[in-house]
Amino acid sequence: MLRFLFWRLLGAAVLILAVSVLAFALVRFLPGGPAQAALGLRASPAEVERLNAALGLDRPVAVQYAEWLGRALRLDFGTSLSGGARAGTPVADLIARGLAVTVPLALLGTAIAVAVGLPLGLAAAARAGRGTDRAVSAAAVVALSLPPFYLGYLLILVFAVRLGWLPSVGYVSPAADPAGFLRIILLPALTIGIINAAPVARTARAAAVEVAAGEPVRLARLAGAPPGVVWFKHVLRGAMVPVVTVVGLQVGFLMGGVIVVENMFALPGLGRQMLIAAEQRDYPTLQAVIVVFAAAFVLVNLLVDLLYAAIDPRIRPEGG
Amino acid sequence: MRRPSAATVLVVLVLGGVLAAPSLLPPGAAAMDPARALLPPSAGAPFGTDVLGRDYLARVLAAGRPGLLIAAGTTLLAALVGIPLGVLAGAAGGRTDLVVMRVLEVGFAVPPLVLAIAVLGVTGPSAAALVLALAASYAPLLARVARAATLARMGELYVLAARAAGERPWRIVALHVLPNTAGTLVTQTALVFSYALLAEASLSFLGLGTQPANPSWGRLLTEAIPLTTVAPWLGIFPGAALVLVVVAVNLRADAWGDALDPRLARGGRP
Repeated sequence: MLRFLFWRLLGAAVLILAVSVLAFALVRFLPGGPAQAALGLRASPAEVERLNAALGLDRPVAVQYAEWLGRALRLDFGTSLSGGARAGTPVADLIARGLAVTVPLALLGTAIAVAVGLPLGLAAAARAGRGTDRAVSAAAVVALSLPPFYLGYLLILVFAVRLGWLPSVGYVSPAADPAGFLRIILLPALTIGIINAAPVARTARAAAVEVAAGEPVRLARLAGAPPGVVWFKHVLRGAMVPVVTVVGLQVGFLMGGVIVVENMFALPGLGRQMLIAAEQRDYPTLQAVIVVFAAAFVLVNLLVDLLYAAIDPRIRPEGG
Repeated sequence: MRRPSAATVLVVLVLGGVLAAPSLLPPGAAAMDPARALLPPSAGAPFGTDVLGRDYLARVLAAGRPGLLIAAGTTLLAALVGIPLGVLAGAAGGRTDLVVMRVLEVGFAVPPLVLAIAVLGVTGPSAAALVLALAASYAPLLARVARAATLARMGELYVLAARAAGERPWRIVALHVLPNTAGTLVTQTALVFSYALLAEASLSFLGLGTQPANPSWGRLLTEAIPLTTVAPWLGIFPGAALVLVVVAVNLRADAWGDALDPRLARGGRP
């Protein structure tokens, strides 16, 4: 197990490193570039060159990357090139502030996705081929086809405008007012939760149908185990492994939803920081945010691999 | 020849309608008329009117094409790059496979929207950059599916027999592997098209997609949000149009998935 952990951690580190090279290359080699963005399109080549020299961008790319990486390892991602109140803020601060919003939002969204998707998927499996099953798969197709901004819009329309139950604007930080923060992120979390419930429900249904037809469940039934016990002990457990996998694999999809709802509901999370950085051509921030998103994806999937062993003792990681 | 399924009819009607709509609209259909600003849906204007008194049905219909074209371009590029790469990795195996899969893993680690926002943040809004960025995210997805499908075929008896008979590798791939993976690949490509539609709409919504002179459905939603309380139809209709298109594509992909799944094959196929 320790050996397995070591190799997986090493693989994750190499992958994150590769993404950081990609992010670095993206900012350096795409048309545009920091100096051009700062000076505007009418700047003469000589002016651009001067600013490049001042920013150290005229040195060999490998040297620049090594320097960036050296500082990034100490969590120093440079300072923001954005204007206004953000000018000169360390990128690491922007990211930390963003994560304080994004992490609770993503966790609540995932919790809602599992809380909605898992029971629906199991209910569909229990009545496979009948009305409930067909209703659940139709709902899943529609949910998967909903862009987050549209579902968010409809939820605002119903819960904020018509019913007036939940606020759609007015941000409060989690540190200042945890309960208020929870109220504010409820609609955005519901938006990504409902959309992400669809893959969870589909996966849970498929897995439960397979487990329910399997040998252990048939034996348990023959042995006279009550249906509730069969479902909780065997079917739910068998469905958990694929459900956890799909939650891990859907993290990228979830992040897309998080970026959209943060900007829609004006939540100052990582996705909002990223869009502001893109609008302001704030290269150091863009570069760092890509790496943070990728690192989150890689680490969640690493965690999923480790969870397997905990959920299903029969699964032993290779080499462990 | 089977009769076309309901899913086919739906997808042809919806996609054809959206692509043709801008050309079919009578000239002046979206003319401004300040006296008729923000009218709710009625018999004369089924989708109501917008802030400038333009007929909203005409605007929604005209806004479908940009997103569809971007998504189609993205899907085509992703398929042209990803599928050959995946088939190569699956058929060649060994070191080629290892290298291709490692490179693809980097692509998986960066979510499509994150990559697209970063690229557009550097290049500024541009349809070409948008297509490139999204295709770079979806090509690895198609490559992985193509590799898995190819690997599954490579172990089949007919491939082993062809190999034993001394058939050249590229002929084995062309004659035996590709025809038998086509179903999976078509389904997955259709799904990528629906992902690309949603991603383009989200980026337009965030202000990074098509430009205001040429608004797409996502952009119309952005404009509708400040007016949510007074004119909800401005958001409801373009969003519903987008969902209808994506549902049609997803249903078609699901149906293909079933029809072409060898385990569910109902005669006529090997």
